[in-house]
Formats: sequence, structure tokens, C-alpha cells
Amino acid sequence: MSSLRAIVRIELRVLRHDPVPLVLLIGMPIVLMVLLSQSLGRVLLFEGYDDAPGSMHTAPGMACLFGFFSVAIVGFAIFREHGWRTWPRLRAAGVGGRALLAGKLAVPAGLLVLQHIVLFGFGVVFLDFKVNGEWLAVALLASAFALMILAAGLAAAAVLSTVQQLNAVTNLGTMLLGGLGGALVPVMELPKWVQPISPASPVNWAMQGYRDVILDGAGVGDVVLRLAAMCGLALALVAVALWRLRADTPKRTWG
Amino acid sequence: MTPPCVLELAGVVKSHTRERRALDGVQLAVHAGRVTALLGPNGAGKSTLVSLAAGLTRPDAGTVRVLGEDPAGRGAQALRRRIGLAPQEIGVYPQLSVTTNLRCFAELYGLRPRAARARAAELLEPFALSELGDRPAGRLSGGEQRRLHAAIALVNRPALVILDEPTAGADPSTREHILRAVRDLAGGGTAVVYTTHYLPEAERLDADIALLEHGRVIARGSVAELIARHVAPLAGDGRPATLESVYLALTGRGTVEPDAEPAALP
Repeated sequence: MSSLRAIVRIELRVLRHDPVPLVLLIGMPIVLMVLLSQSLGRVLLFEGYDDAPGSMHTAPGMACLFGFFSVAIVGFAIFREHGWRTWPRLRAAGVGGRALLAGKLAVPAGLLVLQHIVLFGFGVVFLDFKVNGEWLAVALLASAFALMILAAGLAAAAVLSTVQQLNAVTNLGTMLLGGLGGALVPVMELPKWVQPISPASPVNWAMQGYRDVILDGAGVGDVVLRLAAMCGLALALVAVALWRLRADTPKRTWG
Repeated sequence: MTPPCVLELAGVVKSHTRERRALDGVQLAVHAGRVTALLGPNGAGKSTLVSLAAGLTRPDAGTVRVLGEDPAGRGAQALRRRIGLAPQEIGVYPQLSVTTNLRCFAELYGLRPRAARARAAELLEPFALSELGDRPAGRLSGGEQRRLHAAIALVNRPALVILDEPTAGADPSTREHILRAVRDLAGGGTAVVYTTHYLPEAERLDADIALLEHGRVIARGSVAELIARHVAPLAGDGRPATLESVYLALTGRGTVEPDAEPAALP
């Protein structure tokens, strides 16, 4: 327990000295919500939602898109220990694998929670965001999505061997899967040939769940399958991470 | 009376590739209050031995025991907290200050925040870091970073300290501070494993020598014993024989290999 606490304290200290991830996860999506909500309101109107402000799409959309950047944040939290050559020191200090990974996930998990609270809260206060269904369903969708993201970060750190790979895969993957999954604009507004492949993106599972709850008034029972799909993918990614992550295999970084 | 054995390797074999053994049947004992210098050319197996002693990797055959226990075994986390390691490559958090780096590692070793702060303060002076406590580690000179790197190995008041080429690339002042700290450690009863390419350092530390080549310990003993055993008391030029004379006689190589790549710990 003390190892886990110590790792979390290190992560928080590093974050305090380098708050870019915080700005990226929370500041940028707020700016985009403000810029895009009016046009997305017209899109929702076109879809037949008469009384739906654009924030009913942009709040979950930006949460999903920028939440996906946490894959990179988790990956870098592990890669930078190799880059700074502190990885052998952590291992030599008797920090167990579980404590090390849990410590690495704790701060990004906290950031994801904070991000969702701030984005949805900002939407409610400033952009007329409302939920026609159950707020509990929104919270569960956000939690399942966050689990999936954290697991994807671990898997990326386990499978990829260089920091360049991590950078390219996570950033391009975020834009590609976010756009494909309907985080930027609703799937119906994507090109016809793209729409059938949209469900290949896990962002689609979260976004369709959010739309069911926020726009169509669904409850927890209506999104159980989507929650199960996200949790299932999270478990599969954790299994990949545990299978491939080798503590004694150095990662190639910027050094 | 022989001081207690802190680190013991018996018949240790370790291979990183199928073709070549990094360590091949190594026997070694390191005692409390003594400095044991691991010498040998690059690729001799020193860093592999360091990894095994620190519990970072397991031997393919043979046994490694620290204070009588397997440092890489299940439940060895408590044991590893009694080992201090400074790997060959400098490992610090560059954004964090010198003091915060020391505190972070002290907390990792289980010290409570207040005790960690106190321990960090204690370590600044012996490593000439008192004036640099608030400076981010990334803004230190190479020598200052190396002193911090060595100081971190001591945050947990270890029974066994392993310093892998702690003075590599260091200026004379940094080297002096590190050697003094090592002598003080041994004087206080700590067992120290010290790898180096600078043979006069081993002589100044009055270290027990273990000379490795091709993964084997080819000579062991004090400097005087090795000279008596392996070379004439006077070198060809009439000067007294040194550890370097022994090294050259046994390995047939020079000691300075400036272009060598440092080996990363696995």
C-alpha cells in the first residue's frame, strides 16, 4: 500500500511540474464545446431532436475524444520511467508489479473522472446541457469508457516498444477512432460508406450509449449491452497487457 | 572474526543469448563493512551480476542470497528494501528538485513523508548537494546529477549498497565525494559492491577485488594478495606493482575504454 501511495505521489508531483496533460484533457475540450455546440445543435435539429442544444452531443463527444488521449497519458507514464532511467530504480525499490501499474493508472483515472465532471458540468451550467434519461446511466457509461481507456493505455505500453510508436499510435488512433466513432459529429452525418464501419470503433459504443440516454431518455437497463461490451474490451486489453508487459524489457525512448 | 556475509553468489550462471553466457559459474561473497570492487572489461558480466544481486533478474542456475534470502524470490520486496542500487545510467526525475527526488525514493522505500523529508536533508551534505536542494535535477551538471544518483541509493539506509560505475564520467571533485561516501558507508558496517573501470579507486577504497572476465571470476582477494599472487612486486620500470599490473597480467588489456557503451540494466 505504501508503494502504491508513493508511486501516486510521484505521479502527482510530475503532473504539478508539467500540467500539459491536464490542459489537454480539460481545457481544450471546453474550448471545442463552446465553438461547436451551436452547429451541432442544428445537426441535432436536422436529426429530429427539436429541443436539443448542441451540447447534448458535444459534451459526451468531447469527453470521449479527449478521454481517448488518456491512452497516451497512461502509456507515457510508463515509457518516461524508461526514458529517465528510473524504471530499474522503481523495481529495485521492491515496488511490486501490481502496485507499480495501479500507481501509474491512478492519476490518469483521476484525470478522466475530473474531465467528465468538468465537461458535463460546464455543459449544464453554460450550454443548456441536459440528460433526458438517467444520470446514473451516464455515470456508468463514463466509468466503463474510462476503464476501457486505462486498459488500452496499459496494453499500448505493453505491446509498443518505442516512444515514437506510442506517440503515433495513440494520437492518430484517438483522432481516427474518435472521428469514426461519432465523437466529432453524429454517425449519421458521416459519409454513407463510413457509417457501417463506425461500430468498429469503441468510441461508437460509448457515443451510442450516451445518445440513447442523453437524447432518447434511456436508462441503465437500456445500455447494459454497451456497458458489457466496453467492460469486456477492457478485460481483454488488460489480459494483453499482462501477457506482453515485461518488467525487465527496456523500452526505447528519447535517450 | 570474519564479518557476516551479506551477499553470496554460488555457481551462478546467467545467459542473455543462447550463444554466450554473461555469467558462468560465479562464486562471490560480500561481507558487511567491506567494499567489494567488481573489475573487468566491458562485457565481463559486471552489470549482470549487479542486476542479480539487486533482485532485478534471476540466475539460470546457481543461487544468489542477500542476507540469506533470494532477492528475486516471491515475497522478496521487504528484502529489496534493504538493498540500495545506483545503476550505471543516471536515473532521476528531471523536473523534480534534488530534495524532492530524494524524498520520492525514500517514500518508495517505505519511509513516511516526514521521515523521508528528514532523510533527504541528511543526504544533501555528504554528496555536496546542500546548495542545490531546490534545483530541478534536470538542470544539474553531469557531476551533480551523478552525486544525486548515488545519494538516492542510500535513502533507505541499506545493508547492501550496489554502485554500478558510480564515477563514470565524473569530475575529480565528484569522484572524491563519492569515494568518501563509500568509505563512510563501509566504515558504518554497510556492505558495498562497487563496479568500476578506474582501478586506483579500488585501491583507495582498500576494496576486496573480484576480477571478472568472460563471465567468470578469474581472481579474488585484496590488492596486496593479488599482487603477491599474480605479478612481480616491482614492475618492469622499477616502480611498485599496482592493481593495474595485475589487471594487465590477467586480462592482457588496458583499463580505459572510453568509447564503451554503458550497458542498461534489464
